[in-house]
Amino acid sequence: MIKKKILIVDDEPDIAETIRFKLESEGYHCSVSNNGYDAVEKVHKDMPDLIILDVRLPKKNGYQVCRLLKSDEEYKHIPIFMLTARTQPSDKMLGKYAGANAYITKPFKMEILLKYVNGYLQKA
Amino acid sequence: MTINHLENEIVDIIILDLMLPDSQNLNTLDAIHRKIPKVPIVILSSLDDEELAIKAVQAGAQDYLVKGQFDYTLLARVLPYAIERNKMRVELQWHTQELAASEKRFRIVIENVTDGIIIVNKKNKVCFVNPAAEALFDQKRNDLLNRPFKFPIAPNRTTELNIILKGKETKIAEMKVEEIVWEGEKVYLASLRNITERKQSEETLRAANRKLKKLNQMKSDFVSMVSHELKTPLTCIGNSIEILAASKTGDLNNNQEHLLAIAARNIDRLTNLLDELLDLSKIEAGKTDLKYSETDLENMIQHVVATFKSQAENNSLKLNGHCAKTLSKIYTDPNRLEQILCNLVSNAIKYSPDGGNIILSAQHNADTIEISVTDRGLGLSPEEQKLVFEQFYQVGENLNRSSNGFGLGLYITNKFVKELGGQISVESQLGKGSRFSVTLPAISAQMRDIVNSEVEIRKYMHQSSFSLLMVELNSKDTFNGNKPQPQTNARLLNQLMETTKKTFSRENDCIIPQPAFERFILILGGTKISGAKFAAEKLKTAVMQSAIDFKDVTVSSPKIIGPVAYPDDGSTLSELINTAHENNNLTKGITL
Repeated sequence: MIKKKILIVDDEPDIAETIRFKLESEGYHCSVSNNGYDAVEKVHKDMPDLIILDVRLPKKNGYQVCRLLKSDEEYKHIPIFMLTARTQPSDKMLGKYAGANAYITKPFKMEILLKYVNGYLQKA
Repeated sequence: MTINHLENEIVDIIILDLMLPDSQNLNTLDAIHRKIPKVPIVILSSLDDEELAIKAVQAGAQDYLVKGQFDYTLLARVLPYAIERNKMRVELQWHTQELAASEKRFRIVIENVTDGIIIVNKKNKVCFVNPAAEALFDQKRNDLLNRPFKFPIAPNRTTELNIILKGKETKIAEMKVEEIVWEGEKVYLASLRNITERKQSEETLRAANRKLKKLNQMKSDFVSMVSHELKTPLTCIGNSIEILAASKTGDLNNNQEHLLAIAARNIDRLTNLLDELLDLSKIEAGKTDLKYSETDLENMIQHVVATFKSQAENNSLKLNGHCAKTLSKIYTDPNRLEQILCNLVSNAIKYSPDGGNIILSAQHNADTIEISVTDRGLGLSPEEQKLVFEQFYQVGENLNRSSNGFGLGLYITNKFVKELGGQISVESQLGKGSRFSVTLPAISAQMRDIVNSEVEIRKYMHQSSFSLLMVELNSKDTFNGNKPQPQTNARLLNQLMETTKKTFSRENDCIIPQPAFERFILILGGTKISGAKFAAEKLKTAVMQSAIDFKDVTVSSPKIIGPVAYPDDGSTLSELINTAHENNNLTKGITL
């Protein structure tokens, strides 16, 4: 069985690493990107099955990356989970407006993230 | 000799010969006058002394008679006339003295009063100034009198004058003007009070207030930033522990599992603390902006119950939710309300260590919505019930603290409830459980525009170009049904005064703040604002907020917008303000 590909975009290497560790132990294939510009490049190159995207990123922030991908016919089908420390309702609105599929607030439980990932990737 | 006995005798008139053996000429007259000044004197003179008699009359005698030249008839005429004339003289003298004394008394008052007094005639010429006014304008009486008064005269109103003195020093005076009749002419009487010092101390206070606000904002921003920054490492630690605990890295022995559980529990605790800090910093900075929308309360209750179900079951608790069917469409800020419900349910779980039932229920009262959370937990003593909504208060200090936060939970919940225009209360018995009830206003569809304008009002308040909001709902507004309430205006005015501790006067259906120089928006109520009671409550909050903000605004020039009618076409506040700006002629009649 081909492993599903997940792109993790976070400029905090430790966060990216723990997510990668968890998801790989659940049988997913993960790649990591630490800025918005690189993330878009990697999406173009690898066509991941799902993207976990931090909001606060260097070069291009998460909302911009999300909006860019969701407005592109070729990539709009890829589920995007926004990851942020922000909890203000207005930020949530911004995330929805950008077209994100889910919104996960830091700190989060790995089990919950895994539930979301499983849910989306089994549906697809 | 006789003179010495005079004061003991009661005499009506004295007939005096100026050629007595022991006293001659006018000396006698003077002596008598000094002794008994009020008794009339008629001189008895000899034929060759008539000249002296005339002098005596000039010196104060009433008349004279020449010896050998008067008979009884003349005497009978001269004496009563002399008495009568003297009586009038004495009275006149008394009145004159009294008048002089009275004038002196008033002059002392006018010249020593600390308020400046100026009289200006209808041709704007100064007719009178007192020394305090001279001092205030730093000009001599003669430089002010008969010259034009340099400031606008506004009768029956308090105005402020900026007096610029030669040395560039500025004084601020408060002027009150009354119309009076003076020397047969209608004139303006202006009383002026030097309020420079008061103004300066007000400005000092304002500056201090601005500084404090800024510091408070910095503090809140700092707390917010730190909390956000702390979340990232916390997430990493939490994630790592979770992975370890899930045995993804190999089997764990009992000790390892135990220690990882402690670590995981404390990550949760730290997360709670950070969330409380973030909530608090939001509230303290006044950043919480509400977004009202139609909300299905039944749905929300089910959602909250589902969220806490597993946590409740882990604590051997049964969590149930009930909601009246009528509450499927309520108008509120769903995010806020959900936070309130979550906080209350989470608390109920925390303080029910021995299991039992927790019930989350909502019902519709006459014009309120009541949501309550009932538990069979530890309960609160009457003293604790009083303190439970205070900042940093923690119930049962002896309780296992591992799940506690800063003791901000109910404090924040209370703030949230107040933001939604509601109230929170607690009934409890120690050892039997507690019931926390939240009462929210039932906002009908018609009231939405009012709620929305309140939110918009707040927005404008923070834009600082407007400092005080005046709203008047007119008598066509309906109140609890469709009965017009002509008292709405008066009541709203009273509420404004009560809450802002400021004085307002009513003129031509406008509410004018006193003193009148403050900038404000004026909105007149239109024909279709229902639920005036609720609106008044909301506006009360907004006006209170604006009164606080007002202290933060340096008022230099008056700015009046409106009045504008509140139409029933769903206009927003910003549109109304724009309309008012365009139709600035509407401000006629409230010129300041």
